[in-house]
Amino acid sequence: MSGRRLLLFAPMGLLIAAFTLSVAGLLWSSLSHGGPALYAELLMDAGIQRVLWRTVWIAVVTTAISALLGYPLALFLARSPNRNLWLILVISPWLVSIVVRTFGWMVLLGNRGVINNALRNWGLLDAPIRMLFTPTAVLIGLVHVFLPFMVIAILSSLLMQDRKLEEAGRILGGTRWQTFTRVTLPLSMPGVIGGCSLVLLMATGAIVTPLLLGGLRDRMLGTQIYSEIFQIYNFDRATAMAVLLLVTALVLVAPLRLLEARIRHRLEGV
Amino acid sequence: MPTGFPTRALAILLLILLPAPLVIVVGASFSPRALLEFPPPGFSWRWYLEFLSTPAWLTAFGVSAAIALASAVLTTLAALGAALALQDAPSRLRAAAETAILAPLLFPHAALGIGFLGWLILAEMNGTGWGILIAHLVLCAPFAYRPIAVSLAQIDRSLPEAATILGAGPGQTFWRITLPLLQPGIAASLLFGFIISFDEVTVSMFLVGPEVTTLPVTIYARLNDSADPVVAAISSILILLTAGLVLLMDRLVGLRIFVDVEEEGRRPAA
Amino acid sequence: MLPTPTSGRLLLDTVSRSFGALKAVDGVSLDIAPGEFVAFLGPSGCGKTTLLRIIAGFERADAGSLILDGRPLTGLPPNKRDVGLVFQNLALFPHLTVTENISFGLELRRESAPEIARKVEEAIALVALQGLERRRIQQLSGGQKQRVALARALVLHPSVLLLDEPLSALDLKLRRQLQQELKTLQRRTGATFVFVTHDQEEALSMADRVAVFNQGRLEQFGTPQALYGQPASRFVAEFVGDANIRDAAQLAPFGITLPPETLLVIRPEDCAIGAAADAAPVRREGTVDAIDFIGPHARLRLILDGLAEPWLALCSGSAAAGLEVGARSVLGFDPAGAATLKAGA
Repeated sequence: MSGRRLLLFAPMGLLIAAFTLSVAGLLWSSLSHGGPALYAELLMDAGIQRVLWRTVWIAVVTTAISALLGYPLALFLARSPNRNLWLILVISPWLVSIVVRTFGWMVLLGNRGVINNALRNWGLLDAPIRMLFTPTAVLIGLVHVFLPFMVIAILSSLLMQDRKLEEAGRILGGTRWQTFTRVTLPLSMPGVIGGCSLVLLMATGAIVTPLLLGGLRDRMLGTQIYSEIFQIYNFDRATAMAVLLLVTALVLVAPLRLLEARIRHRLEGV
Repeated sequence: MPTGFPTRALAILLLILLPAPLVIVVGASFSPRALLEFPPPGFSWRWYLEFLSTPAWLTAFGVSAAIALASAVLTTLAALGAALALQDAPSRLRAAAETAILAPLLFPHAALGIGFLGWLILAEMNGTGWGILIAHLVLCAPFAYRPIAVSLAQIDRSLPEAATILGAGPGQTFWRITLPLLQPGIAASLLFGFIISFDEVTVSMFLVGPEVTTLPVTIYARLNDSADPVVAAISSILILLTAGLVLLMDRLVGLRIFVDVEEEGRRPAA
Repeated sequence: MLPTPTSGRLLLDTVSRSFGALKAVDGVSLDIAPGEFVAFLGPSGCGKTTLLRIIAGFERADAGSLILDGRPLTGLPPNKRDVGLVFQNLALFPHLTVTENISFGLELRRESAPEIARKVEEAIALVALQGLERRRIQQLSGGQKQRVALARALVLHPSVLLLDEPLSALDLKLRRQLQQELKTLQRRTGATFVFVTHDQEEALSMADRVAVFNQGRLEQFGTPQALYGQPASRFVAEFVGDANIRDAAQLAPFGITLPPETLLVIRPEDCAIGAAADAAPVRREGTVDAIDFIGPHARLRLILDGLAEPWLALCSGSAAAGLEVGARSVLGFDPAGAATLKAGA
């Protein structure tokens, strides 16, 4: 690197250093303060095992639902002549703070929330249905929070596609459905998988949505870490759990990343 | 799944559901009563006035705005430097540097929060605006770098050459050609940085202290106790602010940049 | 009155440039006269564009020297060379208007505002773009963009204007028209033009002299007539126009004896067909293998009796009127009028 280039890169270098320091510090302090004994203790703890398991299944289900809902929406956006208008409806909620969006679901799902009130007013219910503080509420909240990420990821790979390929599929005798399953869908897989790994990663580490919609009983790893620090004041345990979270996220995402790399390699030869 | 009726129906349903919780929050904020209700039983500015007359809320708003502004400007400058430094770099060096810049995207935020807290405590910067700012700079860096790098890559390489052969030195070429052509990327980077920092909560909630806290974290803390209409009023302000910035982005750059940046961003990381 | 060119003499002395094992430019020497219109011609990858970029200063030469009007160019950055360049993709600044593009270089020279305005107006008149001054680049047609690029380069009055296949993106008709305009423009400005192209027709019709490149080497530098009439190598003979290139063994059946290691270049239009061949000094019968009618002419391919290699002939449409594939005919030519080549050249 030349001197000028190094100078230009320096500010970004500082940010990379700050990030590296955080990750390295996390790993170092979890090993030096707690060490393997602390990890063993954590992993043997039935409560933590439940939290870990809940974290994994909620993250995976959130990802699957987001992909299943996100694909049709992305396809619709890709084909719509009014794409820009619709994009505003996807991007605006996406950029609003997670707290605010989660708050919206609290208002909707609460015992005296919008849905229960409406059902009662229509005479469909006597007692409110318990929706807030359930895993379902967490799932709804997380899908709402992460769906735009999935849509944007899939949309970008759909828009990258040459529409002529679809026309080629049709002129070669494919029905609309065959052309979709054999041309459009395979070509958009990098976007689907990229979106999935992003959502999986973020859902695994979510704190705010599970805390506010899931309450204190149905904890995920992120919420567990948060209360470990701010309610129990056990920094070492929180650190070890953060490493556990990091490893869980990487283990979950790794196969997707490998798959994405392989598909890209096949499609683009890179 | 060609864009037949079922796809379109599902897409439109989702396009209604995505902004729905936000619409309900805005609606509930105008309630004259102390209960969160939608549709509101009347109309009043009561909760907005309460927000404006509560110093703690205003301070949090000010802190968030200041940090967001600083994050946007500083990450944009850092990203501009990095993009220019990497422009002609050997491809391996460039790929390595980009992986480092984009790495914060690959880490669960809960773990990152703990990581920052660890070394900020040692540096006695936890609970200060500086600590939060550093974390936000790291989190915003990938979002600042990608649009600028995309814009830079879109500049035809012969344009700086044309400026040179017409007599421009390196500085003149940069100011008269490169910088004006980078405008969309720089605008996107500034807006991205501001929005992401202003909305950030997951990492910030580990770093705030009794003296300095951000608006989203304050909202979160309040929601943990009670969800009341003043939160709805503040959330509405956040929603309108974000929507305004999205529309500004649409005007200045076009929303397509969100999609383009996504595709570009996954490439090196894949 | 045409200006008498006094500057723009460009000397290249054994200029070379390698990329790894590839010799992109291999020992090229050229002497380009002031005010001359020179074309660099060759297939893609022959090194002509690299050489142009070396002259412009965007690539360095590994060896050799470049001298412009007595001034060595080595080590000078592109902005100090007094050289203009029209890029293949034109490289017009998309964020500036037509006027702003053209005045860009003048502003960098810190000329006075009235001076800049006068020169820009002059340049716009030169390329006939009046009325489009305030347009943005995206609002222009292909031909208009072309003219802005020319005006932007010419307004600085460079001693040498380099043009890197600037017409390649245009359709044929517009291309022909702009070729004519370019030639006129070159005569009016008196600047030396160096024009890179892979289109031999374009090179031959526009240039005073053509430099033919192949695999980094200069094959021949001469007038279009010389290139066509006395090609210096087999490559030039084949690249510039069509040719029947024959060695002694292939010509023996005609009763022609060639010195060893010599080839004869017989152009298709020098071959006579049918009755017209009666007057030719040598001739031979054969079968028509293919006929293409191209406007007033017909291009024929004949398999002559006892000869494996097919012969190409160009004759008038009326001469070929009675012929069809499989028909018998006679091909004749005058060996005295044909150019000779050293085999292996």
